[in-house]
Amino acid sequence: MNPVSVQSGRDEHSVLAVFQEAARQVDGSGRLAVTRETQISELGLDSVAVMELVAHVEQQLQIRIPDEQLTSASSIGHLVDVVERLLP
Amino acid sequence: VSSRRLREAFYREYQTFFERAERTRRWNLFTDIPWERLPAEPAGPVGADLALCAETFCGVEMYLPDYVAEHLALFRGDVGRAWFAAAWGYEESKHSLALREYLVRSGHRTESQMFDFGEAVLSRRWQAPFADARQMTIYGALQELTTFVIYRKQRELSESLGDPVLPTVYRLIARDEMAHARFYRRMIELHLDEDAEGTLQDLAEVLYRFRMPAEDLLADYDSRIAVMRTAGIDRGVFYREVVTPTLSAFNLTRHDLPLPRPRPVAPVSATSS
Repeated sequence: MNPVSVQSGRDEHSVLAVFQEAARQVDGSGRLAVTRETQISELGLDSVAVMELVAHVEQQLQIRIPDEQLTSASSIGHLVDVVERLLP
Repeated sequence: VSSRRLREAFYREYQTFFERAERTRRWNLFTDIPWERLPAEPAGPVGADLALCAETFCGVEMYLPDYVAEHLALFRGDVGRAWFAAAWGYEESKHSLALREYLVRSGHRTESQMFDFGEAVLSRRWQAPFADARQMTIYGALQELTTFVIYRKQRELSESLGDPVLPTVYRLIARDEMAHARFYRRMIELHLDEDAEGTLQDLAEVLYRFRMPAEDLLADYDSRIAVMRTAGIDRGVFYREVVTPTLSAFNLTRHDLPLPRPRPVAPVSATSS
């Protein structure tokens, strides 16, 4: 994936879409549906896979999510909010 | 296949590991654990939960034949690591024995129950999660440190609940796990010295896809996890106490790692409505 420019909520490349694409890559089955409400525990991704998900998002958006946010987030929406705050 | 220079370095590290183990870390299942302090009758529900945790860890440790066989097959031509696998197998063999002895001597389980449990465990087979020797070395570092953290928490919990024996059992076996984790870390350092790029890629592959061994093999694992949750490890603990210290040992953070290679994406079959 090449890095993309994302302006939160203002174009088709929303932050959520970046998470959805990352989830597809991490899941491998191509069947993983991700929404803001999705709980991380519901994804079938264990705690380590969430690190991989976030690594994909960080590379795609050229940002760094603080470790404490990585470990405390309970839902995709929570992670999306964190990323939106980090974007310029 | 590792280079001769690397294999020689592995052997020197193994000599250091083995000397320290022989001089400072050997313990005796029969004389170093205060079995005589166990009460005549098993404790109540709290003791039952501690016993269920001990039985679960005993089960995971009982896949020893598969762990040793897989490691020896992988490292057979490498003296340092093959001998480490053998020494490691001896040390790990005492872990399930100590937990099993606790369960029987405390009265929480009978000999017959533990025999049945052991046969049920060994009716399934553990397979190495990675086929590559370097990746399995990295897996070993993470798995041993995770196990150390779990046992340390169980020691603290059993101590706080006043169990007279389990804290000693967990202290002894956790100390072994930490020694194993340190040995694996030294192996990774040597790999990084020889092939930094490839080793970083393998670190990413293993770190992001890590799972504890045998979690999908033990019967009733989900219900056992529910009981263990009070002294288990969640995402935060795993990250802070396993991932971060492991990477820090190599002066790395997760941001220094590349992305793992993509998994193959299964085609989504079209459905007509």
